[in-house]
Amino acid sequence: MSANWFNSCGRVSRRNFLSDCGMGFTGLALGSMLARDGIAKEGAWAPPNGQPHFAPKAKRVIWFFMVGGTSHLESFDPKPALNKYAGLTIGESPHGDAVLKSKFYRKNVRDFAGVPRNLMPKLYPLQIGFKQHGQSGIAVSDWWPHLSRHIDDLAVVRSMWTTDNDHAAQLQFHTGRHIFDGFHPSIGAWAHYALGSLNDNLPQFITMGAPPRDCCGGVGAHGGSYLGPEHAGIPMSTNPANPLPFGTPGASVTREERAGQLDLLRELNGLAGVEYPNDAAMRARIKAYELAARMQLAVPEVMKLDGESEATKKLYGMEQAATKRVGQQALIARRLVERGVRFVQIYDGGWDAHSKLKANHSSHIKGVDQPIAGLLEDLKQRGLLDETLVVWGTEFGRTPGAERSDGRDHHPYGFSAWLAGGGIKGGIAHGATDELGFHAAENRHYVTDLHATVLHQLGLDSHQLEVPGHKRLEIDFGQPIREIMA
Amino acid sequence: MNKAWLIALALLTTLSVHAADYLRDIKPVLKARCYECHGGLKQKAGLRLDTAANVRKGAKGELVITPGKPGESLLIEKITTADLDERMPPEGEPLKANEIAALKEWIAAGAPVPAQEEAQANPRDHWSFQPIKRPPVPALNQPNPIDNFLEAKRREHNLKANPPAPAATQLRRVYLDLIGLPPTRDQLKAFQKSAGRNPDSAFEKVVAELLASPQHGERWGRHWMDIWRYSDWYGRRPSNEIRYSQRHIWRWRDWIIESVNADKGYDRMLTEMLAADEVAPADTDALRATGFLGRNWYKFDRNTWLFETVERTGEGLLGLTFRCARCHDHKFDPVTQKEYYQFRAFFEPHGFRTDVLAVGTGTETDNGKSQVLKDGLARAYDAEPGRPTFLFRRGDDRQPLKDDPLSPATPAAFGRIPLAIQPVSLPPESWYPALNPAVLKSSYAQAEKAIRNAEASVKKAESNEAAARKALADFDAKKSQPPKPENLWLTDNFKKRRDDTWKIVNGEWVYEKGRLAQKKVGTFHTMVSLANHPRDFRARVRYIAREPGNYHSVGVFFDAVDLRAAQAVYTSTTGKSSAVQAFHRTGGREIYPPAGVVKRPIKLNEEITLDLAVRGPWLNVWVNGRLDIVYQMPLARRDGKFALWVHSGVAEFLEVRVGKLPAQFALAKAKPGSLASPFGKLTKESFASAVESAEKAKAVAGQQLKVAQLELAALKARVAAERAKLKKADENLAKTAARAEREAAVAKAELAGLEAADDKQRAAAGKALKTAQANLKKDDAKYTALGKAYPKQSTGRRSALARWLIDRRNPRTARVAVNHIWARHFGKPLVPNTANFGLVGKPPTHPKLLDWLAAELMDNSWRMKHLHRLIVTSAAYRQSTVVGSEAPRKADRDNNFLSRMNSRRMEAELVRDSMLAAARELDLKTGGPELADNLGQTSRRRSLYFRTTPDNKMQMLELFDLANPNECYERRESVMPQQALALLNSALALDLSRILARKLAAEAKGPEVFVAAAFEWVLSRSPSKEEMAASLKFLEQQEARLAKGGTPFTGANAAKVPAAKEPAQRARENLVQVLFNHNDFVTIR
Repeated sequence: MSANWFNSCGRVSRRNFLSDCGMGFTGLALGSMLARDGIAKEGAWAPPNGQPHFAPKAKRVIWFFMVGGTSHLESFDPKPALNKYAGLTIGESPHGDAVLKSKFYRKNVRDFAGVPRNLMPKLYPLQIGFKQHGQSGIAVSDWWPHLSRHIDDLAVVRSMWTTDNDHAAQLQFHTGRHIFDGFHPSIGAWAHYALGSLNDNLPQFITMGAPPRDCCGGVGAHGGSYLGPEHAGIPMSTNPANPLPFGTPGASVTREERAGQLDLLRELNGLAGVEYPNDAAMRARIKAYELAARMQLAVPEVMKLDGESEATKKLYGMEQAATKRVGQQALIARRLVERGVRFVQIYDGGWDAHSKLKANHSSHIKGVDQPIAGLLEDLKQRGLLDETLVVWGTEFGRTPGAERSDGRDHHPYGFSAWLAGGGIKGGIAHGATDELGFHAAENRHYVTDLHATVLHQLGLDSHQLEVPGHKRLEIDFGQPIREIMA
Repeated sequence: MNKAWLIALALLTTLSVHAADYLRDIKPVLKARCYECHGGLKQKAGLRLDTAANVRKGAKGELVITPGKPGESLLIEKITTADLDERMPPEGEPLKANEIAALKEWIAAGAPVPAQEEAQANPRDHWSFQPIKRPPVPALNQPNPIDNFLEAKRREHNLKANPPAPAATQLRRVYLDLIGLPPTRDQLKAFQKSAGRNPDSAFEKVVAELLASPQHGERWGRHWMDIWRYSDWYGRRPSNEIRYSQRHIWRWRDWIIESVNADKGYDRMLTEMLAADEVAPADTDALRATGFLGRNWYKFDRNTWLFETVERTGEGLLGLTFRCARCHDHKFDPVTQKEYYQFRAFFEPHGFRTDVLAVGTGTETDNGKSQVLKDGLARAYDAEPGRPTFLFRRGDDRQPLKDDPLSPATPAAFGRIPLAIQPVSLPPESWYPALNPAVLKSSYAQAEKAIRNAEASVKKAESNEAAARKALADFDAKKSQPPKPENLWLTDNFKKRRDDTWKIVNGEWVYEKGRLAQKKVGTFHTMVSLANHPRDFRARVRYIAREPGNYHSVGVFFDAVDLRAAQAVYTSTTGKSSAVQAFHRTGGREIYPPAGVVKRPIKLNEEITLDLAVRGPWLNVWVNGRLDIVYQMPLARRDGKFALWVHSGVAEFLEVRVGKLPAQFALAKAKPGSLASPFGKLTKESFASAVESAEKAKAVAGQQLKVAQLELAALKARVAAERAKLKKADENLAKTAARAEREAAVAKAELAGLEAADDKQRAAAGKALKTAQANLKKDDAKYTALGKAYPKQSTGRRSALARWLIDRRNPRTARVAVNHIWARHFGKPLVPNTANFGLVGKPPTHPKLLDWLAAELMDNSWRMKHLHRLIVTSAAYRQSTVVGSEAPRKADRDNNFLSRMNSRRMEAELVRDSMLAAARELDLKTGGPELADNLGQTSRRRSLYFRTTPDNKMQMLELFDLANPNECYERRESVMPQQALALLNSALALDLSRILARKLAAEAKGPEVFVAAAFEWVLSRSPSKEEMAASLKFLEQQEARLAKGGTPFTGANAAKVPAAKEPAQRARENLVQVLFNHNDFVTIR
């Protein structure tokens, strides 16, 4: 066996080793490594080398996404005017002109199916009360009792906007592009592409929960697009028996049997490699097998929550039926980032409250409120929050006017998101919608500003990540929201 | 810090360190920020800034700089002004302070001009816009012209070619390249033998065979599917809503495969793809090609699909990146925004429709609203000839320049190739597809087949009737015996676990006290049979439902394709109410039709005997011997597995028996009576009822035959009437058609009466019959038209575009095509950017070879097999891939000059197909509707036949870099741990390893022969001595290891085929799987 070349992979420094083995820091992307060697010579462009562009504030990201559209009005952006003018139309209220004659009205939306979505004119009162919380005194709806306690850790952005008035805004929230423009790399893929691995035993970009449906971008919301599938989020189930795609052969294979196979595989690859000593792809593949074997053991370990104390599980609401699922996902997310996973994306569905908003939102918020608050608390207690950026978002808000008798329609003109940890200033409410909560009015932020902020906290300048042949528009890069940075 | 201060600081720094140098400090800035509008491509305001001399020259006589006086220079004013409308450059950030300072400094120094500065070339002179001329072949004594071109370049770079690869390597390479499958062991042996005598002729013979093989079209068809971005339809599958691409677009895929196999010229292929409806309007085979256009269709935004059409046609066929010109003139290439929209005008009138391929094809519901054809031909046609094309300001479809409608035109930079657009008058069979002879032929064939089927049914019904009568007579004569238990397909009394029969899907199934207990309360805890049960079957399950739980549901699945699609029967009790119920699962959801529920007492802790009898759509269910359910299943029957399950409860199973339903057993088809279960004692009543239903079946079959005959007659009559109408309507023919159609309707109504299962259906049928009979008395000429009619003329725009594309003078089409072909043979294109031959793309490594190949393609009627043969028989192709270490080779790390062959990783499809082929399990059936992507682990069909859309991809293929269906001009070759997991843990990898090991063990005598055969099948080569030794040692050690047992992995069993019980055989299975995971398996050397 050609022990020399094979082992040389292990002896040299980790960095050299990885590039020697054709893996680089970009998630084993042999193709991009070859491209790097080919193109870098001409000094034109090189793919990222795994280093941030400047000192990062955050190392990892946990990204919550509410599929269906959470009402900003009943969450983080209270509008007393809705109660005051409830039952009147927007036009009849004193703020009608501010809404309907705004330069944004109808203009910043690309109509799905070529048909403008109906205005829901009749103002619908807030379905829940608000209280101020924390030192900052930021008002949060009473449906969020747990998260409210963390308000001084949160930077709420109340002036988000997007351009899709249907659920493909789910794709847009993650790629920055309207579905009419097709598929583009998702925010998690960019982070993964730029920074790669902190831990070789685990995938670097993991998703949990059901992603958007096919209509709305599907897995494109965590796809790699032209960055390549190796940068796409890997869906993980919270079932410790089989959390990964092809993660286990199941009970018909024993661990000892597999170990024997992998030994033989290593030996045979080594033997065949004698003839091709300069084959970087082969060395990358050998490494990939080692990684796979470790991953197969490391991943179920992350999912096993036996070692977590009852107090911790309780913190996440795992003992209650309503909060169990998200609680478990959030706890696993903590375990993942603790182990160096770069980007964890958690989808939570069912928020599309066209009718019965009160029943819908009170129950869906209940499902996520304690788990997310518990996660913040847990990260804080463990000293992880400083370097972990937690983001909460949704594809759009909901209309100030009523849909049917008791719902709210999709609302891309203005909605809320929030960030915490990872170098974000807490206790701040940034940006504002107008009096009726219709248009993002002050410090407007398109969804890519959120991406730029995340990347900035990770030490990245989104402009520097552009890939030749995939020209991006200025709006694709977004602008980091500096006002919320600590 | 204020801005002025910054500038001053920057200026100071510059001055103090070095004086500004034009080439170092000025030119790069001008190039990056100004050339786009003021360079070789464009000279806005007449200004060029591409050389210092041009900067000094200024615009149209007006100076932009005054040497020595930066303060008086217009250029400086323009780049520093605060007026944003005036400031240059108009886009992006202003120039940086140090850049401005350097410019000022240069001007202050008198704007010195460097010697011999060359002006930026006119982009129209770019190589790829020049006509293709056949260059002479360098005379370097190589038999294959390609090698002469390559050798010339190698000599320039002081490189030598590698020697030929070993015979086995060459063989595997060319097999995988030309047909996408590895050679069989026999093919390998035969080749090694013949190559020993004459390597060249042996290789050429193989190449000829492979190019003639039907699998060649599948392999190379898939390549073209990448480039032409094939995608099955997608949108919302559950509601059958199509948002992108076309229904039945698989016909285009089949057209691609067939065209490659037939060696149809590339010119003809492009023509048919763009305009078959104009050049072959009546040819239903050729019309499939327009799937190329249909693929771009997008339900919600016509502009999106026309943008896609323009841009992907540009990239895929012309190597032209059009996309930039959607919003503004192209920054680098000589293409204007206007030319973009003029190109769009070729496609502006076209739309899509689905033509019938046989009159009478059924329909299905689309998205809960409209009815669409279940089968048909998706094809392009000019739907709106007069639709205008406008340029969109900044690419924004809300800002069309309506004053200036555009006509179709091709980009001027491609040279002057005349474009003759002539409207095309379409023949009737094109605008009235139902009259197309091919459609009529299949319509008649379909009707005749219905008659033949009906005739066969009549015969079968007659013999069934006779058999039933005989059984009754035998029973009367006491000759009949109940069916014997040994005839059963499955019996299990659960005394022990049977891994060869069952697979536990989920739940906690424990064999104890001679029973099988499912002990965990949960959702549908299921244990499923490994094999499919007989289609018509009887089943008995005995069980006891126990506490805890809520619903205490215990039941069976049958026809279980997977857990998402199955029929089901169960009993349940909540204490308050209890029932036996039939339902089904489809798309992963449970559907509970009310007709399937029967309330009846079910008790916990008491044994329940659940009996089923199933034939066709009919289901009878007995609980404890009483016939409770008589049910017609609404979900179509399919072959599938049998499963036991417990939902929201726990239970013990005592026995299960499943077997073919005896032919003489007649199911009840009306409300429950006293029919005995097929497991019960047979009574005279059941035999008598069998005779009765056999008689009825005979009557039904007879009536079906009558309907089929009348329908064919009616079809013929309608065709005659419609054909006549093309010239002049004929009243008599029309009346005949109307009458024939009504006669068929009467027969059909009578048939419905015979088939009615209950009073309600009988009443409805009676009513329908009355109406049909009343219609028959009418004496008018109203019959149903055969199908839809469409516009009779096409604009001729797309066929004109096609002629332009394939014109010998078009500088791109052939070059782009041969570059794609070359890239797929060598793993590396001649022009590095296959979809961009423009100014930012890189020049070809071998420009002469590229042009020679392009000329060769065109001069040989654009036939691609000629080119394939030429390329794969070259010495360059047959070289070894070993990377040499001498200095020139190191300098050519990317192997631009092919001093060796490139190793490659198999494409996704090849990984899967080669595993199936090596295990001799591959199903070579070609063509047909796409297969569901989730069948990839179990189906044996080739990978290109599975559904592929941006939303639906076979997971395993996706891990191996399956083509992005939206855009894929070159496949990626990533290396990821998930690929390793797929080859280690997938059902496919485990099953095929086990199957192949079983086959090899049966064929091979002794471990050495086994190892050699395994290498030869999986890796297409013999093992080296060391490999043999390592493998033998492994077999021995692994056997010992397995004999000791071990810790199983957690999680559900992935494999469908159980592992061998004997450790020795299981070790062999392990070895085969290791070879499938070997680097040499996924690598093409």
